[in-house]
Amino acid sequence: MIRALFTVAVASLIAFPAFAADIKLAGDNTTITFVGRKPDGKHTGGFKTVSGTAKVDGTDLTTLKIDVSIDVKSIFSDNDQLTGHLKGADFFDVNNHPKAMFKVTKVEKADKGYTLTGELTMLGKTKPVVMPSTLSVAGDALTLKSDFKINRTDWGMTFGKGKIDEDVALKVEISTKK
Amino acid sequence: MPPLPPIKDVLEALQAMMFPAAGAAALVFALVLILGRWASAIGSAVAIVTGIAVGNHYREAPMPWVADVPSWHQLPRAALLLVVVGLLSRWFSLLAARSVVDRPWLLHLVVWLPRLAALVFVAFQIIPETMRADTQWVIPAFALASLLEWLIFDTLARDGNGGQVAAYQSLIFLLGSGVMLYAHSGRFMDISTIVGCAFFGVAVVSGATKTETSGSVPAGIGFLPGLMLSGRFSTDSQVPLLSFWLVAVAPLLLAPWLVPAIAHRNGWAVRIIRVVLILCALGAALVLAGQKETLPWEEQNW
Repeated sequence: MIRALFTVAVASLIAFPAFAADIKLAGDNTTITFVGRKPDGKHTGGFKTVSGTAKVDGTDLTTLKIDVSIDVKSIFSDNDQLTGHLKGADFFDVNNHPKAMFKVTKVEKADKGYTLTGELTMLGKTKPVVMPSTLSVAGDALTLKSDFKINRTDWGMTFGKGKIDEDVALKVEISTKK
Repeated sequence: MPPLPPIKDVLEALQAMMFPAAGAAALVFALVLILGRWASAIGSAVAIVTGIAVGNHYREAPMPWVADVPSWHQLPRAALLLVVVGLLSRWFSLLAARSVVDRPWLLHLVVWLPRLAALVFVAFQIIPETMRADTQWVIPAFALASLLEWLIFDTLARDGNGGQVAAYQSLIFLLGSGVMLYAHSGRFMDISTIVGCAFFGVAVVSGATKTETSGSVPAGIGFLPGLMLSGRFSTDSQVPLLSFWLVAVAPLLLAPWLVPAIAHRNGWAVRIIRVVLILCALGAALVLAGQKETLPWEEQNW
């Protein structure tokens, strides 16, 4: 009896890492950047402060769940004046909406990599997003790279319609220890 | 003197805001006045609401139709609420007038107490929580300054100056949009322009028909300080706080016309003095803003 109990206990300890464990996400292992375009050029930017968790059962990447909070006030761009404008009510309205949330709710294997489905909450509006991604678990490291586009007007960011592209290219990269 | 904006942008703004907002307000006001001059208060109220709504629609809704958090998103609802409270309180006082004929102060209470309550409610709707927490006097200051502005414009509007009052409100919002432009907020500039254009439509019809506009006055009360506070809070620029304040309190410069001795003086000299007073505040606001910031077409293209 004691031997059986001991066996179960050891098996549980060995099996434990295969269950979901929270992986901390922060600015040092997670980057969210964007490229906005207009007829005569483009601008790049991103968010310096992000925090959240990723969770995956063992090596089964379809069980991946990601929950990220973005400090919108930490927005930066390649032009200081533009950064100021982006913080204002024309775009992110950071004083009224200081946080954006990004959540991955479903992961499916695709022909090339994975398709992540999730929700992006900005300016008080939550809209679905679909992200074609490359995902890998190598040893104890989780890596995610995703390039996708969103239509900023879906979140009410309508400033410069017709002068600034409505589609904004987003890039999410996560590279962290499990 | 800053350089003039590109003509293409001016034409676009006229097409998208001036014609729809001013046109709709003027048309609706003129149609309601067919009923008679007695309908001028409600006519101007319906006209200003219609003008703002149509202008907002044609400019692709810089003011969202649905609001979530207490912020500038609530400005159109606040304007609508104040217009309704303005009309109802006036009508109620007319109904009550016969029964309290020997106590006129009671009539003033019937009119102004609900208006003050509405302004306090609107202040909580417009001013963000963080600003309220940082500056505790902002709610009473907002409510009392707005109440005084309402009192000034309402008194003038019901004293045969309807067109002038709507023109003052138009002027304040249109020049206030310049401060928003210096603050690099296209959205707030558009909002201010739309409201200014709608008041312009009311002013034209009222000026032509010599009708009163006390019904449209409240649409700009609360909206003006609310927009300026939001402009300060939700933009990232070097425009000094004083610029926003000067626009927000510009109507208070007409407070001397509450004094009975000069309240009914409406000659041309008086009219010019009133416009000059308002222009002084707005001019100072624009000059101060221009000292710290540049206009978009003066800058490198970013």
